[in-house]
Amino acid sequence: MKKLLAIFCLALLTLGLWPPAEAPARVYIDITKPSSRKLPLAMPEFRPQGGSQSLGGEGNRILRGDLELTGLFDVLDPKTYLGSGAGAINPREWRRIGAELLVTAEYTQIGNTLGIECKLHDVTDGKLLVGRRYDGLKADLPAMMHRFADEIMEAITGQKSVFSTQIAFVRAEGGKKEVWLMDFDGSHARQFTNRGDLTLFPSWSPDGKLVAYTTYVNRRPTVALHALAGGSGQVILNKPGVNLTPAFRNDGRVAAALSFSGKTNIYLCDQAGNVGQNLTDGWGIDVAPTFSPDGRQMAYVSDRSGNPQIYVRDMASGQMRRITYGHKYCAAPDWSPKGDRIAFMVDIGGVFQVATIRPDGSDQQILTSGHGGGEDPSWSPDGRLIAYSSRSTGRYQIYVMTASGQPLKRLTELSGENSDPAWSPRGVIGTR
Amino acid sequence: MKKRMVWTLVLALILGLAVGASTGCSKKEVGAPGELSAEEQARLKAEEERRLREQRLREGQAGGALTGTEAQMREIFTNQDIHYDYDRYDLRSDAKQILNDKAGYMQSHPEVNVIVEGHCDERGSASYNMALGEKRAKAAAAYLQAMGISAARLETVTYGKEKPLVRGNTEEAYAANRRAHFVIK
Repeated sequence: MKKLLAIFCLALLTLGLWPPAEAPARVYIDITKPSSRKLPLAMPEFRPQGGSQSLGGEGNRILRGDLELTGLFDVLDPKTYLGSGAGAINPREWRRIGAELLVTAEYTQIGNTLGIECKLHDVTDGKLLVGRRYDGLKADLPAMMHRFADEIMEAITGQKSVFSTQIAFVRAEGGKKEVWLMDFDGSHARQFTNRGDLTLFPSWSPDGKLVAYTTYVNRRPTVALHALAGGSGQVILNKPGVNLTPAFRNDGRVAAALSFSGKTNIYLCDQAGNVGQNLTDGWGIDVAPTFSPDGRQMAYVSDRSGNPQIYVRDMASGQMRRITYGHKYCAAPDWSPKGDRIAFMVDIGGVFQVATIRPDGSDQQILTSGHGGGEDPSWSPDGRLIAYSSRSTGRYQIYVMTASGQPLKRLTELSGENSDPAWSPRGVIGTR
Repeated sequence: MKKRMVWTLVLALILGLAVGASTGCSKKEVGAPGELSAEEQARLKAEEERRLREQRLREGQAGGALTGTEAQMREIFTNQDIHYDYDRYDLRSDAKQILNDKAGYMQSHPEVNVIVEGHCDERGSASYNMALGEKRAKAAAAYLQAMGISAARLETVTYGKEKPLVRGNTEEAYAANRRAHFVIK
């Protein structure tokens, strides 16, 4: 962890001779429009400036994977390139092959150390958009590439992307379930909990330092908090009945579905497990809360109409309204970090699909019907991507698509069943 | 006596095959107007199978002592699940009949304490199913309490859709997995 911090401090040193990255004068991508075209981008081989040459290809591959995961770029085939990207850039050379953007990098790899200079050029206007230098150890190459990918996204869209995020998910094997973590692109999958029973429904704290989940203790589902930094997780809610589906509000408090009263309602609790006010009062099952980014509204699942549907509660007035109609089973809501939509799963003709809807119940969009169904959606922190689980290959695995339903990548390649992704906030590197 | 049990089993097997074959035939016509839905068919089939199973058990008992041996009764108690409709936790009439038997067993065996496990089929969200499984277990436990069993002897547990009895995504598997299972502590 300390080592990574040092790298990032170094990485913040931009090269003095480069002009600072200005806010782009023209709009490269209108990210509010789901069907906007992909930006053609050329990225020739990274050029070694002395020392060993073993890491250039890997750096190029990592950065390319990051950019493709956004669904925003069309990385052009290197075989078509007329220039090498060395020395002075000739914009016309790159425009002729259809490129609008060009990424070049030069690196120095000596012993265990690595220095790398990365640039993003606009070859239409012939100007440098971003230039960064990163220095560190060879093993930090992925972190350096993810960092630069975020810089590219910030230059193009005005905000950083997901390249400093983790995804928690549930892995089932041998009749047990544990929470696992992986990087945003599916790499570095590793076990997070080791409780030896059923552990599921992971949810991140707003600062990314805690993961809450449901875990069985003596046959009872309880709610535990688990520091990303380590430890074994601490049970905070163990009331008679069930203690399910913890979700953080932006103030750090935790909502969970508890049934100690006989009804399964959602309560707001502090992190010590003190149970506060009930947020719902359905006669049957209220479960799976998720908050709007400002914490003023909460979406959840209730069966008060006779089958599970999505409801929204206004936290100030306590008023509730149903937002899903026309389908007999809607569940697993997740409120977009941008605030404008709620993702959920819906039964359409016997197959569950991931859909999104506005918080007022308008403009429902089914996203996964073209690619084999989907369940348990989770938004990326920039609100551009959705991770979800799907059984389209026979076993549950985790996939990612754009918020408009364009499939991008399968993230898990693990044995067993892998489901219920929960995307972390930005700035979570995770312990390895 | 052993011979008779074997014959009973053979008979039951033949009956079971006949039922399987007949539902197999009607399945080909699924989708024709006026036909039962696959879900309803599966439910009827599950009920029929349960009836046959019970008949088998009763015949087995009749062949031995009048009420069966202690071991047999205990086996029936723990092996016989009750079943629920999709996304429902109210008790069906067939479930109530089985619960009557279970209440009888618990009344004649006051030393027995029971864990009632609520289970769901694999469709739908894991979280909603976990809540639903608890409602199923509680509905069964409440019925037993109404039949005079002390709440102190009943523990309810939910496993949602986490521990299916039967693998597979057929209506038959779904119907078998929507159950309350009874474990003697």
